[in-house]
Amino acid sequence: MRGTFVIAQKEVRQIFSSPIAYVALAMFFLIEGYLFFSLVGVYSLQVLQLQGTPPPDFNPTRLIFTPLYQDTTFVLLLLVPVLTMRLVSEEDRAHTMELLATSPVTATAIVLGKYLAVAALFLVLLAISAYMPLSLALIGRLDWGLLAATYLGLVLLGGAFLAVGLFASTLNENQIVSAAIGFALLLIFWILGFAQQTASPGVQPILQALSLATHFSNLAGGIIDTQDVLFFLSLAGFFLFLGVVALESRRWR
Amino acid sequence: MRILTGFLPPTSGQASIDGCDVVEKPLEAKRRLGYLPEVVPLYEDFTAVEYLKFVARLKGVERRKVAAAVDRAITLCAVTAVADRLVRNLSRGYRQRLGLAQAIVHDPPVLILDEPTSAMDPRQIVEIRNVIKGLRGSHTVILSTHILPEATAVCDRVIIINEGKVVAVDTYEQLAARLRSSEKTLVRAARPDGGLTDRLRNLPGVVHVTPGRGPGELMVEAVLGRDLREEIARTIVGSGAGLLELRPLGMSLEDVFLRLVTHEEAPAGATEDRGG
Repeated sequence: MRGTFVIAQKEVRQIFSSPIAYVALAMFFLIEGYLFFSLVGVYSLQVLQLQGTPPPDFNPTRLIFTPLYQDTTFVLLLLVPVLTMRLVSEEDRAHTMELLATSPVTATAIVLGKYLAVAALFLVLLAISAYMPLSLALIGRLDWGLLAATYLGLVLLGGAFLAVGLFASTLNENQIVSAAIGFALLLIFWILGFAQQTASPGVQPILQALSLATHFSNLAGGIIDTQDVLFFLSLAGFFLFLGVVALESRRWR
Repeated sequence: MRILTGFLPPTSGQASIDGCDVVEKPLEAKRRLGYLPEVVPLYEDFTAVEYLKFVARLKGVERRKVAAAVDRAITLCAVTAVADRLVRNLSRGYRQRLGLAQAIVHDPPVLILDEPTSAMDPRQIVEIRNVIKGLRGSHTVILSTHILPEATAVCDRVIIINEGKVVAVDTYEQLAARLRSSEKTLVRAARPDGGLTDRLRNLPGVVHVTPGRGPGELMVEAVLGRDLREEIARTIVGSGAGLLELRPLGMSLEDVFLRLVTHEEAPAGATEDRGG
């Protein structure tokens, strides 16, 4: 696995010297900020209406942050393909893949290095987003256990999304096409659960098991189930594996 | 050539670099190889030094030796002047040199260079050729080029490949000698008419005398191994035709190449006209 770190370092350097990362981060926080603002607004309105006699499950974490992070997953669906689109496509376009492919590093090291770099960017993004619960913690009490479970869910979900996006990037040397493929793949996983109710009894559990939304809502509800954790981990692993295979299979085409 | 670099797998046969089979031990083979592809693989957002440091690490140079390796490559390829500039701002010539620096940064025993002097002005070409010549001896350099005089100038051995088949492997001199069927001499006279052609044809050893391309030029072909320059000169001067020029025609690599890849189907005169 020598080379993974060298490539990851190079990718980080490239990610932060291209405008894509900054534009994506700025847009992300603009949208998140607006969502946060409106959810806090709705919450304070409800507090006024209830006149100091809240029902037992009335707490800011559930009313502000659970819907906020549910919406965040949808923003990530759009954001992640933009972060991952250049990872391999750009190397193809600039012919630098020939340098990587003729260097003493394996395809696995190339894919993992790129994945680690973009995952680092994603973690930075999540870390910054923690300003929202932290700022409310100054004036109220939050359910830290629920928030931790939600953040774990976001890390896992993001990790799986990034792997899908990275795989999409190995398919094409055009960044826009890579982003479109990544977006389509993520959306398919997202809407798989929609047909649950109408599907035949045999297919129903399969659809439910593959739906991203179901697995995430468990974690966002504060339930850390190994089933959900494993789902995201295996999704990430599977698409990283596909990415490695896609790189290796190029030599034979 | 891309099979040797490990970029493409061989469908049949074997390829090895410095004793390492490219299929069996791809990583060891790649470590022993420096490769400059036809399109130089550069990262536009990096400075020249940053780029070379990355390549050195990628090729497996130890962390504490990276700086020294990069310095060496920069000096050898004369990119010192632009070392701290962004790659995107470099000229074609500097990009090509940076590409060469990239190939030698980990000091590999084998170098594969694909068209290293493309897009360069004549002065830069000479510089790059000198760098490549300097690597001779300590490294095995495989240079692919379509510029045949370049192969003549730089290479010890020439391999001519036509449609995937090796047509010839030898030194340039040997190839030229082997394919030469006659000694050719080009003469130019001020007044070539008046039986000069016949008189030259009657010299012992002369096989053909044909009119050359330019005015007053004659091509004299003699049997292999006989230098008739002295006799030819004496004949022309003696007949009062006014000798203006006399030079032996060697075989250029172009001629050798054409001869080999066309299987000598081309009419004999076609290659001779290119001589000189």
